[in-house]
Amino acid sequence: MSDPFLLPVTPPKPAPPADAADAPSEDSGAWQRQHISALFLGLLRFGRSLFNLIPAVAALGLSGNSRYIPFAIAGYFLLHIGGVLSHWLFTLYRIGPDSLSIRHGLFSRNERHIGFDRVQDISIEQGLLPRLLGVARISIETGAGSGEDVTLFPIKMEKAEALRETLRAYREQARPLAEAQDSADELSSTPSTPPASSDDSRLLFALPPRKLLLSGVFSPSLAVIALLGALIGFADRFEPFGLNIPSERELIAMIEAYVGSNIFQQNSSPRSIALVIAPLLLAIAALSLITGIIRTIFRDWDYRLSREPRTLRRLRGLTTRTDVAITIRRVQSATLVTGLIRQIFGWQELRLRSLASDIGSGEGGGDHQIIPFAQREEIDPILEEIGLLPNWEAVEWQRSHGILALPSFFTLILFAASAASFSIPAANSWGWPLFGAAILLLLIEILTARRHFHGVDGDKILIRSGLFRPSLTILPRRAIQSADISDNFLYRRLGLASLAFGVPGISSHADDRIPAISLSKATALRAAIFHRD
Amino acid sequence: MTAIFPITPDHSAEPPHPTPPEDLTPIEPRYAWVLRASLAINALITTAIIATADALLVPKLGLPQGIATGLIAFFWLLMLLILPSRRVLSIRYHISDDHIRIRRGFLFTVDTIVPFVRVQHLDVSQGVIERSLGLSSLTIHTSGVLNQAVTLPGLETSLAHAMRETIHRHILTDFA
Repeated sequence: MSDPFLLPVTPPKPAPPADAADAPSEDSGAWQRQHISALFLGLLRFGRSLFNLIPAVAALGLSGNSRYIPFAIAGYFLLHIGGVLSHWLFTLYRIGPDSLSIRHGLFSRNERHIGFDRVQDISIEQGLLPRLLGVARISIETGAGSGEDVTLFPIKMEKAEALRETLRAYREQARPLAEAQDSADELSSTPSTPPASSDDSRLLFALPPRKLLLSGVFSPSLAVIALLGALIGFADRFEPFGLNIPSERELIAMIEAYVGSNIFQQNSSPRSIALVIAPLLLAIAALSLITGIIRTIFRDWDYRLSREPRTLRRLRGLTTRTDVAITIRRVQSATLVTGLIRQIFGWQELRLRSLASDIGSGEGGGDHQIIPFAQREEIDPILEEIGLLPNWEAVEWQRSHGILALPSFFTLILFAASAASFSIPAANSWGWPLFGAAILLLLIEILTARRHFHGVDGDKILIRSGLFRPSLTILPRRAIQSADISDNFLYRRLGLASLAFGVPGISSHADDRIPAISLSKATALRAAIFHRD
Repeated sequence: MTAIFPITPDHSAEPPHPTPPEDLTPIEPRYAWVLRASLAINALITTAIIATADALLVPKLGLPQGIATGLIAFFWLLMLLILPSRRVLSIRYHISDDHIRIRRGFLFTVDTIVPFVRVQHLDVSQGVIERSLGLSSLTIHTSGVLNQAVTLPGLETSLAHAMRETIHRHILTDFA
C-alpha cells in the first residue's frame, strides 16, 4: 500500500469550465443583488421579531405610558423595514469564472471571496413560502474552521441550481480522479459498496476478554465517590422500598459501635481516626475499581478495529453497540495517551483526530478512540496502516525550557505565602499541611513542565507532554494549515519562543504546541515545514 | 536521522526566513487613527462613568473631588499617545511566492505563516473609519482550529484587493 498521506500531485490550474458560458451567462461576472422577494420575506419576519419588543411594550404598559405603545411598534417597524431594505440593497454577489464574491454592508464593508476549488459542500434549501415564490437559500462551505461560510437568501431557484452546476463542472475538471472517487465514497458513507474481495475488510485489532478486564482495572471510575456523597446527603429524607438508609448520625453511631469507642468526640486519638478512615478509603477504592471495570466492559465489549478500503471501522459495546468509520484520508493526527501508572506497564491508548464529516462520530468529528488499551507493538502496525508510524529510534527528543513552570511557580508562592500568613506553620496545626501542599503542587508543576518534548521524524512532528496523563501527538506535515511563533518580553530575553500549529479538527487529547524552545530552532522548524510545499 | 526534514542545530542556524522581522513590510501608519478612534470611544465611556461617580458620590464621602476623573483621563491620554502608534509599528507582513507571514504585538509577539495552499477563503473588509482613510483589512480563513481567521489590518484598499487576487491565484491545490 502506498502512503495515502502524500500530498496529491498538484493538478494544473484548470481553465474556466467550458460550459460556464451556457450557465447563467447573462449575470456571470456582474455584481447582483439577491432576489427582490427578500423585501417581502423580510416583511413577514416582522411578526416574529415583534417578540423582541414584548419587554419594552410591557414596561411602557406597566409604567402607565401605554399611549406610547403604538408609536413604539411603529418605530420598530420602520427600523425593521430599514434593516431589511438596506440588507437587500447592500448585499451583492458576483459569480466569476473561478470564484464567488459576496459584498456586505453600507458603512462598514466586508467582501468575501471564495475560490471554487475550495468549496467543499453546497446545499440548497427551500421552505414552503420561498417555494411558492420560486426562490431558495443556498449555503456554501469551504471547510474553514467556522461552519457555514456563505449563505445567499433568497435567490432564484434556477440561479441556485446553475451555481451548483457551475461548481460541479469546475470540480470535475479540477480534481484528479482519485479525489472524485473519494468524494463519491463519502456520499455513500455506509459500506453500501459491496466489498470486492474478502481482504477488503481485515481485522486490525481486537480486545480479548482478559485484556478487557485488565483495561478496566487501569481505569477506575471516580463517579462512585460522587454517588456516595449524594446518597449520604439524600438518605435523611429518602426511604426506597421501605428500606431505612441510615442517616449521617446513625452512620456515625454504627461506626462508633464497630470501632468500640466514640471516636468522633473531641479528644479522639489519631489511631482511632485512622481505624475508621483506612477501611473507608479501601472501600471507596474497591468500589471505584469495580465500577471502572463494569463501565469498561459495557463500553469496550468485543472491541474490533478493521481496515476497509478507505476507512478504519470500529465496533464496540455490550448493550449499545456503536459502529464508527473514520476515513483515513481525513485523519489529521494521531495521539498516544497513557496514564501515570499505566505507562509503567506500557499500556497505551490510540486516538485519531479527524475532519468533521465522518459517520457515526456523533459529536461532529474531532477525536476518535481507535485502540483503547494496547502495547506499543500492537499500536505500531495500525500507525503504519494510516501512514503515521514514526521511526521511533531515529527521533531525537528535545526538551522544552524549564521556564514553563514559572507562571504556576508565582501562583504557588502566593498560595504558600497566604497559607503561612493565615496560620503560622509552627503555631497552627493546619500551617504545615498547607505549606506542604503548596510545595507538592509546585513539584508537580515543575515535573509537568519538564515533560514537554518534541521530536521530528521525516515529515512528522512528534509532541510529548503531560505528567498524569502523558500524551504523544504525531502530527503529519500535511495536516498543518498554519504556524505561529509566539514569544513575550521574558522569552525574548532568554532567546525562546513557542511554536503552535493550526490543525483542522478539535481534539481534547492532541497537543499542537511546542512551548519554550529556542527561537532559532522554532524558526528553522517552521521553515522546514513550509518550504517544501 | 533522516535528511528529508533537516533541522539545523541550535544557534548555528542559517537565516531561516528570507526576511528578518525588521525587514517585514509595515502597515499604513494612518491605521493608528482607527485604533485611536476605538480607544477614544472606550476612554470617553469610562471617563464619563468615573466623572459621574466623581460628581455624585465623592462629595458625600467627604473626599476631594476630581482626582479620580483626572487620573483616569490622564491614563487614557497616555494610552492614546503611546499605544496606537506602537501597535501599528508592530504589525508587519510579508508576502512571498507561496506564503504570507503576519507578525503582530510588541510585548507578546505572534508571528504567523499561512501557506497559500492552505487558505480556504478570503475577506476584505472596511470599517467606517478605515473607509474614510482609504484602508482595508484582509482576513485569511484556514481550516485549522488555531488561526481560523488571520487578519491583516491597515492596508491600502487597492493593495488589499490586489493581495486577495494574488493569494487567490496561488490557491492551486487542495489536500482533502
